[in-house]
Amino acid sequence: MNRSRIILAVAVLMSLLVAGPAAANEWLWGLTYETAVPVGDTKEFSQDSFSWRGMGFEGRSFIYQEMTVGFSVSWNVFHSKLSNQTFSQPGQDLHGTQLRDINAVPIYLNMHYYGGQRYGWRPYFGLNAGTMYAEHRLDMGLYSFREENWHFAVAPEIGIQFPYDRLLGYFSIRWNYGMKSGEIDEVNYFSFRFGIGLR
Amino acid sequence: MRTRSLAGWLALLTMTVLVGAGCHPGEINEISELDIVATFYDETVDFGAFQTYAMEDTIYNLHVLQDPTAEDNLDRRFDAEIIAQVKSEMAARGYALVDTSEAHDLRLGLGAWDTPGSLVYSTMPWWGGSSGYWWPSWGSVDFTKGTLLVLLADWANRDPVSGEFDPIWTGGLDGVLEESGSNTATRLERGISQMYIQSPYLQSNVTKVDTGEVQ
Repeated sequence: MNRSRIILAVAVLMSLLVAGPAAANEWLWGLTYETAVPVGDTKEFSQDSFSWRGMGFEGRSFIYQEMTVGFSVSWNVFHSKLSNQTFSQPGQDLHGTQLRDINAVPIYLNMHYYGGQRYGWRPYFGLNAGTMYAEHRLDMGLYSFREENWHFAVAPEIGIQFPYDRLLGYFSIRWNYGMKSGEIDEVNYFSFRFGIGLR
Repeated sequence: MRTRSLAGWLALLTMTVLVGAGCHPGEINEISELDIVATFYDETVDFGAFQTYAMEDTIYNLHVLQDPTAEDNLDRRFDAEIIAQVKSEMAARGYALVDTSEAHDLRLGLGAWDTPGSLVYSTMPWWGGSSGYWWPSWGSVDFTKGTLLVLLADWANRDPVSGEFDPIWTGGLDGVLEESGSNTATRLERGISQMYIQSPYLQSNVTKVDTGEVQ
């Protein structure tokens, strides 16, 4: 199954679920502060070990007492400064201090299954799927080498929602995986999401 | 009660975000961190085959070369040190310096911009062989004001009719002469040295044989 078919299938599934059972029909809106740990190609390029820069916005609708469908947009930044680096291409070498950055913006549709009771502690797990914009940038001096790409992306997620009334808090861990796009490396990182929400 | 604890949560989260956003680890802290040493070379050239080179003890202002009516605003305080270090680096690589009037394999040129400079890859003549006048046109690179260039040309194989040729090696030290601070001399020395460090192919075979490195 190619990527466009996967995306279409996810979109159709979401729309059916949203239009289907009229259960609690309760929406949760959340803002997240996100830290992240890059792995694989993302770690190799960014040379960052831990990112403190990230944020997100999301909405989830309970279509059943235990299940939500929704969407999520995040922004995660990986950054490092490397001194005395040589960047080589055939016939040329550039030496200096490198600033390496990855800006990743995953945009997902998602489904989550919740345990526990309403207003209580609610562990949950789910799957996010969609697309991820990723900018890889290498700055040396006043020069910038930059690549922008869109990747098909998936993100399994586990989390817990704290007891709440009108406001709520939650914490989750996502494994964000943006698949290799043409010649461009995969984007691969774990994000740790501290969220506050409103229902 | 629940609401109050969540308000505390909100405050903590907000504070964390603000602290996180306010920290900028790994940014550029001093001007030397903006220095770039760039070297470009012709991969088809055997640099070991050359034995001699010649150069003029002058650092040309490329802006003035392009526009002869322009004023020369290049900082000249470091010219002698630059020329001496380049000669020292070339000697360390086994290339013998000869006078420009004598036969030589390589011609070395030094230049700098007192304005932002632009180099465009092309086959345009960049150095008129008869007059020693040079005209860089070898890269799609914009250099900032104060960039120092060291160029090597295959002098023996220049065009027999026009006397024109392209550089086979170019070293650029980006922007270092723009503002002469207290550490400009150090940055120049480090940068010129780096040009040669990242160009290990610049080594005359004659020296290698002499030292037993190559049989």
